Amino acid sequence: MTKLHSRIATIQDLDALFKISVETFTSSFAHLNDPEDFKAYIEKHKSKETLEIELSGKESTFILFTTEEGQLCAYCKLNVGEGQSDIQDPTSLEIERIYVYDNFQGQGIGVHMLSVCEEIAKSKGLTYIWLGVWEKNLGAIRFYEREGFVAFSTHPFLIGSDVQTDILMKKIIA
Amino acid sequence: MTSFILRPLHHTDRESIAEQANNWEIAKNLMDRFPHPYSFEHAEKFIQMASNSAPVHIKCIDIAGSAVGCIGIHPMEDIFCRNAELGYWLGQKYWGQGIISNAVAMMVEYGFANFDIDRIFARPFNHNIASQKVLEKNGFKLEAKLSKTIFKKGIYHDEFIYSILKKP
Repeated sequence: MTKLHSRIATIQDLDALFKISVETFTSSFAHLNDPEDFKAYIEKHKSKETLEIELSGKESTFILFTTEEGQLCAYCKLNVGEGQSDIQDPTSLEIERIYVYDNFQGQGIGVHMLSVCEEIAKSKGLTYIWLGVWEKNLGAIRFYEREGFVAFSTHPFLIGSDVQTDILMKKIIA
Repeated sequence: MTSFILRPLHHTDRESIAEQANNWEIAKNLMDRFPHPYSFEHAEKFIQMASNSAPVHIKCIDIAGSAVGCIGIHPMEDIFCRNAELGYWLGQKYWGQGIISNAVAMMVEYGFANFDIDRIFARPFNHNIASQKVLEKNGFKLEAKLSKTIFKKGIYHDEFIYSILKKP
C-alpha cells in the first residue's frame, strides 16, 4: 500500500475536499441512477456551501488521506453525538462517508481508513463505530463484514424521487 | 483559568495532538520541523521521539485528559551545554487564558531542577507578541533582536532572544 498520511480537514481544505467529494460520489453512483434524479441530488446535497457548513460543524470531522507528497487519495466524514445521521447514540461514532479515488483503489486503503476511524473513536472513549451502506452495494457490504461489521438496522433515503435503503452496520471497539 | 497538568506524552495522545497541531496559526510561529498540515502520522512520530528521553524533555499540556499542547526544554551541546532552549505551543481554542504562561513557569522550574543548566532561552518570532509577553511575565529578559535570521515559507522574519538565568 502507498504510505499514507491522515489528518483532520480544516477550512483551508475546503476546495480540495469539495473536488474529491463530488468526483468520488459521481464515479461511484452516477451509472446506477436515473441521470436527472442524480443531477438534482448532487446539486442539492453536494454544493460547496453545504460542505462548508458540514466542515465547520462541531460534531462532524472530515479525515483526509494523502500520499507522503500531499496528494489527496481518500476521505471520510465522521459524526458523533447529534451530528450522527441516525441512532445518535452518545457512545458511537458514525462513518457517514468513506470514499477512495478510483486510481488508489485495490491497495488496502479502505482497511487502513477504518483502522484510523477506529483509533479516533477510541481516543474519544466511544464504544462502537457504525455506518450506512447502500443495499445494492454488495461489494462494500462484504468488505465491511470482513472488517468485523455486523448489520443491525436499515435506513431509507431519497435520491431524487427514488426511495433507496441503506443497511446500517456496526463494529464494537471497546 | 482552565486547569491543566504537564505530563509525558503517550501513544494514545496521537489523535488529540494531531487535531490541535493541525493549525497554521500555530505552525506559522514555529520551526518547519513542526509540519503543516499536521497528520496523525506526524503526531505518532513526534510522540515516539518525545517518549525517547530521560529525563523527559517534552511534556504535553493536559486539559481534562486530552493533550492539547506541548512544552519542551532542549539542552544544548558542546560549549553551550549549560543552556537549554524552551519551546511551546497550545491548541488555539485554549489561548488567552494564561495556560502557557503557567506552563512556562512550571517548565523553567523543572528544567533547572532536572538538567545541568544555568540558562534557559527562547527564540520567538518578532511578530509573536503573545509569546514574548509570556516570557516577560515569567522573568525572561530580552537579550537580542537578530535581523532576518528566520526564513519561513518564503518570508524573512526577525528573531528575538529571551533568557532567564538560574538563581544562585
